[in-house]
Amino acid sequence: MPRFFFHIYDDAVVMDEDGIELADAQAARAAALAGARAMMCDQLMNGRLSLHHRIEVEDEGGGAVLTLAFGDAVEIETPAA
Amino acid sequence: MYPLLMAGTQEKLAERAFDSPLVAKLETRARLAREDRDALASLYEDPRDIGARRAIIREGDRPDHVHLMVEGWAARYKLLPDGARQITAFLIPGDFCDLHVTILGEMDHGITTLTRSKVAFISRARMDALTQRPSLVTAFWWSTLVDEAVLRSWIVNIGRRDAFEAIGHLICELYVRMKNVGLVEGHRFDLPLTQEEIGDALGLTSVHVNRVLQRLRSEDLISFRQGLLTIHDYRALEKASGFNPNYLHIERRQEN
Repeated sequence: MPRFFFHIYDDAVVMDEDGIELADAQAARAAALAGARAMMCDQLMNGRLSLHHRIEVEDEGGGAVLTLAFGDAVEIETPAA
Repeated sequence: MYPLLMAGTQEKLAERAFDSPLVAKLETRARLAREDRDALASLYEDPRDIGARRAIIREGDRPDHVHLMVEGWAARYKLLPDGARQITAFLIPGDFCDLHVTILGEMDHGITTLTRSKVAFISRARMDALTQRPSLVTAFWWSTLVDEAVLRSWIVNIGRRDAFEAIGHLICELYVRMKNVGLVEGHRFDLPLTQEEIGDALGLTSVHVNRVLQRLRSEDLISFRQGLLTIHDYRALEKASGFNPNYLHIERRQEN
């Protein structure tokens, strides 16, 4: 299985040197979504939420697979103006 | 290997260096007689090689053997209907996979190797013979009670600690357990776990585990590369994760 690297851009730039073996880009997208949501949960428990933080996924050759902003990992409902 | 065990002489130290992880572990509580140690050593005579990520035993099996980790790592796990996996224990050399399953009858969870392993298959008759020795009965009870204490501590870890504390706590625990069976050099030991396996043990996603490992590195608490973990500041890691090794019941013999 190909290996994908999940670089995280939050309060710091966290380069993933280990990577995770996943079936394909679709599985990588699912993993990024789950990761972003979990990290947002952690933030929320500490009373904050940073929708602009993001995860950039690369393949083994360093090619960009996808970018996911935390804010795009959830549906946000706000009261109608 | 055993820097601070008991008030041992050089002779005792030399003797211990050749002991198996099982004897090292079971002697945590009390020194065993030579006959007891010989009986345990005989369990190591003919282990089977099992490849990485292979079943040692499956949920629903009715095993007629007890399994003992001789080399390598394994995990207890439960599979959920959606395919998700919860790891409920990591098993290292010297750990029994299923000490009392011949009493319970049917496995209520599975056990898989994580790395290439050597596993001893111990027949029921052989276990019955071992448990004719009262000191071994006590030692096996001790081992089972410590396994339960570890499980309690994992419940606390999953239920009440955030991801950073939970991973730090797990690393402290594995360090102390590996040290207790002589598999730590300095503050460095083999930790052949993937991000997924750590995540499956703690209910975390792989990406989150990766983020936390990076934070542990950037705060200079650990390094972790290619299955080799080094703790740079044990006291700080212990403090950051709220780790107290009392539940491992090894305080008689070692300090960190």
